[in-house]
Amino acid sequence: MIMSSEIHPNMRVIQQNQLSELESNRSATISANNLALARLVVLESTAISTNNSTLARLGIVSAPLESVITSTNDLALATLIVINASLKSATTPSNAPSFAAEWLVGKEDLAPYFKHREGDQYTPAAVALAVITIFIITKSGRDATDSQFLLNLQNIQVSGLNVDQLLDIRQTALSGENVICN
Amino acid sequence: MIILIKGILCFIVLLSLLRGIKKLDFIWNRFPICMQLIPAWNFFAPFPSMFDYHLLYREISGHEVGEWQDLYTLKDKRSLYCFLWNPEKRSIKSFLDIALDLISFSNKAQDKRQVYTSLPYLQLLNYVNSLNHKASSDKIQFLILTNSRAQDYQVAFLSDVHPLSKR
Repeated sequence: MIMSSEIHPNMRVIQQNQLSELESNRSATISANNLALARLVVLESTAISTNNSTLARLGIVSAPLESVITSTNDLALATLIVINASLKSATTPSNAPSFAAEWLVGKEDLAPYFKHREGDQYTPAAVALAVITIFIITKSGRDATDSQFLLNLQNIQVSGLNVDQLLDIRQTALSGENVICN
Repeated sequence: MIILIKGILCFIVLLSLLRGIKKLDFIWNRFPICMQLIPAWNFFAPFPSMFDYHLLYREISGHEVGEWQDLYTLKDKRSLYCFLWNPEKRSIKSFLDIALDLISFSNKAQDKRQVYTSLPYLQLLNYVNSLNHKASSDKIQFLILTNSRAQDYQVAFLSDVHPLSKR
């Protein structure tokens, strides 16, 4: 059996390194626990202010949860609880609009603002707005690819005329529908 | 309904992406009116403008023909504050559009009379006509030149000789 006094100095260094590594792991675990705790506290406070059903669920688990996390280093448990709470919230059936404001204020408070939504009476207006928006975006700023008409100007003398006379000829040709479709 | 709108928007985005592929032009050409609703984002690609365009004009009085004078020539160096104040770019852009339109139409038109009564031709002629001229001048003619760093000046379009209209 090897006595502690007989331990080689190198082994002591190795042991100290291992000890410091364990210490750093422990502090990292504590930090992770604190982070998970902070997340849960945020989740809990959000749930309290937003959703009564979530509040009830988290109210049951929050008290023992904190002691569990602070007394142990079971990060997986905290993560699972967070995931579980999220899944429960996500899978809760709801017919209300899924706006972010719903989670911040609460369904009951926002209900008056969405009371007309079930009738879908604004849907045609929304569709019309979307179509007009697409049309404006599509047509704005685009140059005409073929903007010039080919005028039928046979037997008309245009050489040696000034700009005003040429404009008159163009107007006459256009009004007389002497336009060749191209 | 929302799903339908999303589907239409996704379809338009998909078509606008496919429209950039030149090999598929034979499909788009079959539906010219419908494709007017599909945005094209390739802008100047694949053939960007590679030339500078210059507008010149000269005055003619009787048998005396004046020198060509530059009206629009791009500056070699821009001012430092042109990103903030550069009103000239609008007139340069207008001239560029008109010049490109006139050159392409002159290649497409069947005779010169159609060119002389086309809008871009009349716009340039009206602009040149509205400048201050010598009292002795009675006719004008304009010219569009192109050049680039790799190519010397070339005549892109030469107008007919027109009498000055009295203002």
